[in-house]
Amino acid sequence: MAIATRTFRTRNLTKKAFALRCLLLIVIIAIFIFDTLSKLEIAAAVFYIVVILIGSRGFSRSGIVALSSICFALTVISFFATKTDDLQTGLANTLIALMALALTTYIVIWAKTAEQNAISAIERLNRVARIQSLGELIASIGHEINQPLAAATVSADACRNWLYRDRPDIERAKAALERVTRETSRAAAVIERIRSLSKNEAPNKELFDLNTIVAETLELSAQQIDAIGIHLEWDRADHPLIIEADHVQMMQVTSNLILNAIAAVKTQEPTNRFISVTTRRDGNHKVCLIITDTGCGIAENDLAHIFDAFWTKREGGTGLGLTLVRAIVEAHKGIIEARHNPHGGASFKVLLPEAHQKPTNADKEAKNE
Amino acid sequence: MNEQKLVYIIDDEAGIREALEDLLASVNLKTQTFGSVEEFLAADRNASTPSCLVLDVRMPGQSGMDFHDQMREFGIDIPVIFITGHGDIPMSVTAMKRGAVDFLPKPFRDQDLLEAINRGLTLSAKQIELKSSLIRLRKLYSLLNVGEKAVMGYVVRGFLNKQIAAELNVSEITVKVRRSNVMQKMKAKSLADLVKIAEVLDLGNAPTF
Repeated sequence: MAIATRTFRTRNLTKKAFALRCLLLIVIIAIFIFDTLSKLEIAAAVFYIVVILIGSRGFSRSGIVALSSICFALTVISFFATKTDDLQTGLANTLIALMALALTTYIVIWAKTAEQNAISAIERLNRVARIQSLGELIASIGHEINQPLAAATVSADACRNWLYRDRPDIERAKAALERVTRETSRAAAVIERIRSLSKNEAPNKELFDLNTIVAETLELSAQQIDAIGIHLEWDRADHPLIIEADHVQMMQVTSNLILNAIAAVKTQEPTNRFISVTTRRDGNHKVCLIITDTGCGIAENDLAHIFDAFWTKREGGTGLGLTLVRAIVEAHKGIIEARHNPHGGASFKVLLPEAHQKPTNADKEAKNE
Repeated sequence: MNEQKLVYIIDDEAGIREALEDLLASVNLKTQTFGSVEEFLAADRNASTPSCLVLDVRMPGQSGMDFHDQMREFGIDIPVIFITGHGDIPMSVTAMKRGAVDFLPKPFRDQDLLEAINRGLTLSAKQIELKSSLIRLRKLYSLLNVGEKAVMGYVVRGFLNKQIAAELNVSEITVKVRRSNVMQKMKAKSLADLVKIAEVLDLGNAPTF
């Protein structure tokens, strides 16, 4: 997604930048003509400040310095080109104009630097947030890789033992070998899933069943859900809910929502840890995912803020998870709503447009599994 | 000999259970596998069979670590070998301090596991032996009469017959008779033997009378 947004922005910028440059050129020429033709004691050069201010919107720091230098040079040229009536006032006015120009340039560059720092901080935080929510998942995935790996190693050892006996037991060795194959392909499948999660590619929209995404997410967080003793219910649509979306990004949506729900119910008494997931078709060619938990819920005042960047009530939260979720959902022409349940806990509803084509073979396979 | 030993395995992962069962079978070890602590508790166990428990640390329901803590409460006294998917050092230290035989992070080498299991089984056999000899000696000790028990108490603490006679206010002959009865009834071959028996029975702290 990041790459796509960037290209999109760059293309827009070139158009915008061209318009900006034309505008600036016209303004500069106008000011120059006015400054040169007007009397020297009229400090028309002060208007170059406008050029710098306009330039600050689209130019980099070095661009602004260049712009400022041009204005400087033009002011000095105008000074010499203008007929002198009152040299003293004219000189003073030109100096004031140059001072104002220098000061404006300094302030604009200073503001620009601050802005750039803020932007890189946001980018860093975004990355951290993504890594963190991934990290939580990976901790539970690590266990999932280790299990089949351990089973495979043990089976391989057993196989060797059966073969190295005084009277080798080929049948049992074969059975052990079968297990090695089975377990290693299980580990490989888990790794394949992680790889698809950590890929940072441009959105790759494809048709798939929302149910399979939810199933994958729940499978990945199963360890955590079991460990905390959460009662999980999934009211799964009995028909495929086909959407056209980026698989990895959709995983981020579902996993963020599930991880949030897990974190929310974790604070509750063990007997009150419920998460219910619903997937269904929702009227006007929309598919719907609802995740409801019996956690601490959302206060009325907070409802308006939960999707804001950096807004968080969770200790150690980055306040970016839901921001990312909403950005992805909206990029897929969907909507996300949050509400507080009357009996406590929070509920998140994601609506996405339903795609009409038939599921791909991969989806069919996934469903048959 | 191996037929009389048993390895219990508790792991929630069927693949691991199956693999471990087969590995141990390949070295002629009998196993009994369970998917959870609850299943293990529900099963019948023969306390006189040397056995050890291969226990997964992380399981849904009750974790292996918690169960290890509670085993004594359940009256289960068998050596435990932990296996874990993501063990850290503090966890292994805690487990070893609480008396686990070993703590093996998955995946482990089969020699490590088999070696730990052998240690566990040897330990278990010793514990069972100790327990049965204690029961046997207690039975023998209960056959002594009050006078003999008193004499035995002094004898094992190094008192001479003359001193014992004075302490108990009986004749030296009586002490000698009771002493030889004690040696016979307790099946002790020597004084050193009797002292050892007294140690096992923990008579040192018993009140003398």
